[in-house]
Amino acid sequence: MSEEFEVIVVGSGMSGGWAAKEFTEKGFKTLLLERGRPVEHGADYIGEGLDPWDMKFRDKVDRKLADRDYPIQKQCYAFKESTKHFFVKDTDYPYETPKENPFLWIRGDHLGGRSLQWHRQSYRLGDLDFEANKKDGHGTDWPIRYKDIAKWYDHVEVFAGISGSIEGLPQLPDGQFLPPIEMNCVEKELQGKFKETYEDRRLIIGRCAHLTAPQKVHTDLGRGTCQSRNQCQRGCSFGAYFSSQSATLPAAERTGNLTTVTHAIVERVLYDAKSRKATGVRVIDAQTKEVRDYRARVIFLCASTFGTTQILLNSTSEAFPRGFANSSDAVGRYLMDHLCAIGAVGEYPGFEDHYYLGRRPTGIYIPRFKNLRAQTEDYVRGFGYQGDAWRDSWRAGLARPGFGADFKESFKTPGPWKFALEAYGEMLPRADNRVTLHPTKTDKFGLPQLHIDCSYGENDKKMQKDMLTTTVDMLKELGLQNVKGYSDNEIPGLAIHEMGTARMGRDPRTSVLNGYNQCHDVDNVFITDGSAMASSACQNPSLTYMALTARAVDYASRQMQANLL
Amino acid sequence: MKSLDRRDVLKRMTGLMGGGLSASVASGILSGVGPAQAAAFALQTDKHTLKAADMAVLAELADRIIPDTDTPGARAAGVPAYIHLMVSEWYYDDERVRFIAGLKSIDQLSRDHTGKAFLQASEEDRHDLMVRMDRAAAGKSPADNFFLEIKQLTLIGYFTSQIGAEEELRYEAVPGPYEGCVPLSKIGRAWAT
Repeated sequence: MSEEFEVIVVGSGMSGGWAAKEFTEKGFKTLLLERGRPVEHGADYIGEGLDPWDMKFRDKVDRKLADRDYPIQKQCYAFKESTKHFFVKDTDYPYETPKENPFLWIRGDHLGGRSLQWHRQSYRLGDLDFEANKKDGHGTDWPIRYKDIAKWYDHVEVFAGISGSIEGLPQLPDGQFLPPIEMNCVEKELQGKFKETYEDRRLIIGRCAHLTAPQKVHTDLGRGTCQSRNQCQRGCSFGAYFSSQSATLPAAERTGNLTTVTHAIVERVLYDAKSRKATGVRVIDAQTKEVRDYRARVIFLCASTFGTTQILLNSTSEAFPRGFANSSDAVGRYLMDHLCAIGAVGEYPGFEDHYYLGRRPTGIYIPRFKNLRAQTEDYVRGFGYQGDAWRDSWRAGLARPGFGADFKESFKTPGPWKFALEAYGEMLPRADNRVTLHPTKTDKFGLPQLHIDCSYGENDKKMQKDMLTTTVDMLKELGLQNVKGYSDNEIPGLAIHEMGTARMGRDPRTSVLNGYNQCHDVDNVFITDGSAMASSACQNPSLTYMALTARAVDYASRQMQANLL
Repeated sequence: MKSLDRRDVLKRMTGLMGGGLSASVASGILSGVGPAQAAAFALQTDKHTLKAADMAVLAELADRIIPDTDTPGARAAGVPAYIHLMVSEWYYDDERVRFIAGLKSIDQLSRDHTGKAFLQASEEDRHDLMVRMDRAAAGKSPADNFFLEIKQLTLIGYFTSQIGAEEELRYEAVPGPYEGCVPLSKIGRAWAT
């Protein structure tokens, strides 16, 4: 059985949702394939609106269940009773790593993908990032520069709804922002101190995909204002944060050009050696195990970094014995995540009479300041920070001495102000950080399991060291007390920013994709998820995936209209 | 719109007050407590880990840690049932054995000092015993100090209960637009979440 479409989009997360929206709005009959179950906006956010006392373990996942079935997913900060249905059961989704190089793969298996659980931080990459590979020789030169993608950042920001402030920083280009979310008193004070203390460091409000002042483009889709619940990973019926469900999928659906098939696991891309084109994809129905082929003129792989890599490596043929469009042998290589889980926390005296209203869904951000204008460190690239100030709540008093009426009363007053920073560092692309197919082990659908072999390199380790030192020094310089640093991430994966395994580049011998996310080897297959990244920068990457996707669709659609594809 | 109204609207929107779930959920693909049950969820377990006498001691300890004041205390907030649930279902066997031994030790400590079981001892003696236990808990971890363990369970159970969160502290399910810098007097009490 085979069905014909103009475009097939594989994956419905951050990138796939955008590809579906852009193609359908341009009038192309588009098939969206999602390997996971359907999730309906609102109705299927089963954790939304629950108060702590509504849940058996007060929003903690039953510990024995988590230990038994979710040993990897439970390590994600967002894994809770109210969200756990958006995470896979590790026991059902096996993958392999070498003993000495574990990797934590946080994943869901549902329509909307991780756009439902993402952290919503939205930052542009600038030329500091796009030029880095060429300048220091790590990785392959990005085939694009900021000027090539700037208008596409505009395009996706306006539609997604990104809240933020205009700062005029070359290392973090400004965008089309909705009003910024407010800082609290201590953050405002520290913002001033930053300016006084450091020439090159700025503290700004986190730029995030939340509607602070919905525009017509948002309200037309039924999206509304953020209500400061900060329970985003449960799903948001207000449509106040950007997800496939709140934004791209309804936009695609209203065109009448979208066909969505869930439970559709793409086993391989089908290839015709004569025409040197992909003809479609082979799909396994996750529920019935039935195999179907779908055909199309153009295929967009947006299955997530590891998902796409698995499909490519599994799509072998006489023409591509090492995997689809893999004459370069770069598919599966150059895996990156961000360096994270390194930071510090301290107490900030004063402001006892001040507080805040609401649970803000973003924090503050400190753009990169290392190696900015010159190479000054013993490592290349740099890191940025996420953080926030808050007043301690009852949870900080669990070890407080006492009991009885006065003890109870003591929790009524919020504790001292704290300020914490967590660094997010750029990881360099290295050929040995590699994803392959396991030679013998398969998953429950009979598909080869992934084998992920990823470790930190010399540059990464030097940066991690400096991330800790710099954070602790900075908090002390800013007048924080009882500063405590922490560095506890030995295992890559937990930044949930895995990328780079089908990288863009100018040279078909060393990269998989050209500057339009188009496979060098097969011109009607495009890859626009995280696997396309030639370097990781230190910014949260989702906004860049969105912009690259919209840009690639624009290019592909013009090629299709000109009958070149 | 007051927060409670907003929450009602939201619960209606999300099917917590009845209304439709999509087919995928209704067909039971998802395990765990569905929203309809969750809304009416009472903290119960079919296990009877602790006998009535043990529960009485546990409830007395919890209610002395967080007593009734101008707001209801631990007992009224259902903390004993919460602790029972945690000990029954959350705890692994060795932790449960340790907890029950710790609970039994309360009576022994009380007898050593007053000749009476904890619940038979005078108000003053019960208070004194808890003062001593609390002092001994300083610098310890809940894993090696029973009093600290029950104190922490009590605090968590209380402040995540509706009474603890909404009456003793401040809780807003749906706060509305964020205000970063307000006088503490405007909020009045610490946020529960």
